[in-house]
Amino acid sequence: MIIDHVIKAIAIHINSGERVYVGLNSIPALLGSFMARDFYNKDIKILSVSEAYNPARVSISPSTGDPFFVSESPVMTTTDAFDLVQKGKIDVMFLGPSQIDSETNVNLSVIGNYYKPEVRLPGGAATAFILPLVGKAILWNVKHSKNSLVKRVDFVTGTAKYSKNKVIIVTNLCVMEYSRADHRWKVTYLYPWSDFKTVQDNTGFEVEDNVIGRIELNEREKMFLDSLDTSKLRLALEF
Amino acid sequence: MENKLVDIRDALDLIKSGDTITVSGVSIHRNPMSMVMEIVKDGPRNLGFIDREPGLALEVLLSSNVLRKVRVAMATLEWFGMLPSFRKKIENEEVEFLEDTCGAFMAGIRAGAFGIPFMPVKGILGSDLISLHEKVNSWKVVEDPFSNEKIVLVKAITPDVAIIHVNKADIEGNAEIEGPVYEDEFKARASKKVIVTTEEIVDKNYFKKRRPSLIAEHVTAVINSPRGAEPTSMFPLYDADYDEILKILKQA
Repeated sequence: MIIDHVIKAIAIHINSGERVYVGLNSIPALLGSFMARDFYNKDIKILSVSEAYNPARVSISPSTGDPFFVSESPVMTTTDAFDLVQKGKIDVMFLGPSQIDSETNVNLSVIGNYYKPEVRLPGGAATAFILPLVGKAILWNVKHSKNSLVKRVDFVTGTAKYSKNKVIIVTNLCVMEYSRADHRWKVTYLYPWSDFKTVQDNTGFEVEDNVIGRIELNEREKMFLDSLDTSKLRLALEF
Repeated sequence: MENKLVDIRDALDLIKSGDTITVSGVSIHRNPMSMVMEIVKDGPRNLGFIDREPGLALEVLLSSNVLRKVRVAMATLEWFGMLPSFRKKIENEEVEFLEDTCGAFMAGIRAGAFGIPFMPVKGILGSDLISLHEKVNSWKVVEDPFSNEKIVLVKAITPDVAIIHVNKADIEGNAEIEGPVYEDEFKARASKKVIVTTEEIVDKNYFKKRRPSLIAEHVTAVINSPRGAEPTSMFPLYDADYDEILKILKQA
């Protein structure tokens, strides 16, 4: 399953010692965080919009803000968590933009003009606030194409352009990381079904080949994800 | 002890045409649906709506043509997709929409709760949201007088009416929310009137020695409304009713 590889790609980019925050409508981010903590045994803390403070376990439901996650944890309000963001104490945040561009601008707002949109999107949620402040932003998009990875976004919902943080894109074709030294996106990981040329052909800006590995999934990893997502809700993100 | 217990229909009189309302919960969780349905049925129109990450309540209010203005950071039903009426009404320019961002909403609603004119918030610089907000005077980018760095100021958010669904309340308006609280405490403190709908009315003794989530001082009216969040969830009493949510979405 493509989505399971995407989740693993998210999980391997979370490191021990990090405090991560998971927002609404973010099943890959939630599963990736729990995979990092409970399968790869990374020493991380998982905070989320459900206000569950590092819950012992979760069971995936249609909402990543499911309040029943607090059945296994204390409540930490989102306001408290976002105060930590302003103090520079949230290390990782996940965003799912519809468009990402060559300069780390992201769009979750509109396709077309803001006041006369061709397509109105759900809105950026914490994006504008958090993208420049978080230590590492993991942007996920499972429809890698020239329409989603674009030269210039239609609307800058948020940007990491003026920040010094790490920005990573995880898609269904690859993982890429933004290099602040030369302002270029570098492809770092591929999947068993993708190659660098396919990535470049489907990206609206020039990317650099800096591939260091291929993300593959074993049976135990798949079983772990199935155990958290027994209804396989994550498959809705397959295409 | 003052008795603020009213019938749900009488509470409608607290909301006037043109008011801006805010509601409890997020997404498909702890939305004050019983009061929302009452507004839809027989309540005022031409309302403004302000919130961080609303879901079902916003969809129902939009599909019933109750709202003229919306200001939120994101509108989502998550796995169930986008709010169909949110997309349609904005694309057809039937409602005025101002996109917010979570940190700024939190700053604005806290400024409202604290009784101060604005609150600074970090981040956001470089976002196209800034020009939208500067146009309507809800944010300003200024120089921090201490560090000389640029920072966004968010004007205090003071809704006319907050509608908050809670687990327990006494008849005076002291109320308890179990589990996640989101910004509901700030919403109640920032708003001019507060309507509390509750799963259960408790004796006044219940709050002795406890700090209520909402103190009666801020609450205007209390409505006894068991299962009043349905079909959204109410921790720890009931989960969201997914079939019913899908039914509402199909009608939109």
